[in-house]
Amino acid sequence: MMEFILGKYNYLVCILLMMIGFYAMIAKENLVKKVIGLNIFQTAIFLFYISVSYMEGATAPVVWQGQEGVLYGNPLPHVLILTAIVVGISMTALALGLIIKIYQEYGSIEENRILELNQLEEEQNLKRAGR
Amino acid sequence: MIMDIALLLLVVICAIVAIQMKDLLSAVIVLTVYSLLMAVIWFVMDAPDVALTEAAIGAGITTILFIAVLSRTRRGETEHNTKVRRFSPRAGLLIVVAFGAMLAVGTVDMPDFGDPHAPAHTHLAERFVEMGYQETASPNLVTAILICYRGVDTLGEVIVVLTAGMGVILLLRTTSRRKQLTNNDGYKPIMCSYYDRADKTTKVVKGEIIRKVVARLSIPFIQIFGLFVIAHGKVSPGGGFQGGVILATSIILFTMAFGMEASRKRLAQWKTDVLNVTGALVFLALGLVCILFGGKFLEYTVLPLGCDMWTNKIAITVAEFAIGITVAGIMITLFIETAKRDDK
Repeated sequence: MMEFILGKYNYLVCILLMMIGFYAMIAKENLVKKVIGLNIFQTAIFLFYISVSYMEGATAPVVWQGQEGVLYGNPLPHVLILTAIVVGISMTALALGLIIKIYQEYGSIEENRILELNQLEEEQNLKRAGR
Repeated sequence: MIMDIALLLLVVICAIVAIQMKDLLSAVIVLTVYSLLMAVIWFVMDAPDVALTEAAIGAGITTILFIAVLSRTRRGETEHNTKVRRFSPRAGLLIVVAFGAMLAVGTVDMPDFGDPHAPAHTHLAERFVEMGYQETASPNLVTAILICYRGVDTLGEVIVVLTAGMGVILLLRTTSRRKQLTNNDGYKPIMCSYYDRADKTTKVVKGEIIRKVVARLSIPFIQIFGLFVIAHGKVSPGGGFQGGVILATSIILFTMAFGMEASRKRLAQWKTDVLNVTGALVFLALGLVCILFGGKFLEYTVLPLGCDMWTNKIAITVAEFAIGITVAGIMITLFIETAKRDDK
């Protein structure tokens, strides 16, 4: 057990962070909190990729000219994550834009309040249709 | 290793605190600390390019966007007792724990952390590391892969960023324009006069001078650093994405110090809109020119610019600047669209 934890502690922390973010996304009422959770979830995945790319005794993947036999880290996950971070901020911005719109429409960023307002509106519509 | 574990522990604590805080502004600040710690961890794990990106974007732009949104909505998390039946937090916790446990069991099959013989290192990556410098003349292998080997993917990412920017513009710009049109009947637009008055009154506020002087002194250096990061993407960590964000930060700092109106006078809305598209189009054109010269899409070596090494160097620089322009433009647009006041 101890060996397992010492060998894989990075992956375990990734999973822990991912679950913290996931919990915020499904259990928190506040929409901004949900986006914070989304951000934590994202970074957890990034951390997972970077952990995979890490090599014991390697150095950053920038070639030293005239140096032979240097072990470089794996650059491929770095590239994937570098672009993923930029796409992540774009997605966050879009989510935040939607939150601003929702606030302008409902005057609240709490999920259950928004659901309640929707339900009230539906009931009113039904009453109107009944008459 | 103790250092690693300590950093990871701090990150987990930050994540939990960020989620449990009632005050949203504090939660966002803790999230910034979280991002910055994450950047440090990645730097320790030999990924300086990714660390630079996270420090600029995760800790910089994300925080600013969150704060801008909080200033337009609400700062506190308020609780409502409603009749609406919702998923209870306990059920959420149960799902999360079950899901996490399954994932943890899945890691048993993973190779140990830091194992140099892991499958991830033995196929494509090996070749990139061996041949990357010879084939692309770019010592920074991350840039080599980003611009040369996976150029089409990077072009796609630039377009994704552009699309997200357009989405934000569509969401947040339309209402203000409609209101402006209805308000603007031959007079000066209301927005303008409102801000002019605001600018005159804010001059009295104490502490204003510090903000303005610091901004004025640091902006040129920030911009030079941004350009340096873009231009040196080949030889050192950095590149179009990071440099573009740093350039955008200088404009954001200017806007925060001198106000939206002053910033819009220097860099009009249509200019950022043009910038957004220019970068993506230049990158696309670079790919198409390669086809014209008889190569494949984004195959730079067919361009007649002297020897292969120089061709690659020039093409990578052009591509980096193209990425930088689009990213800078989009980041400025995202900030300005989310931070501008609702016109009343």
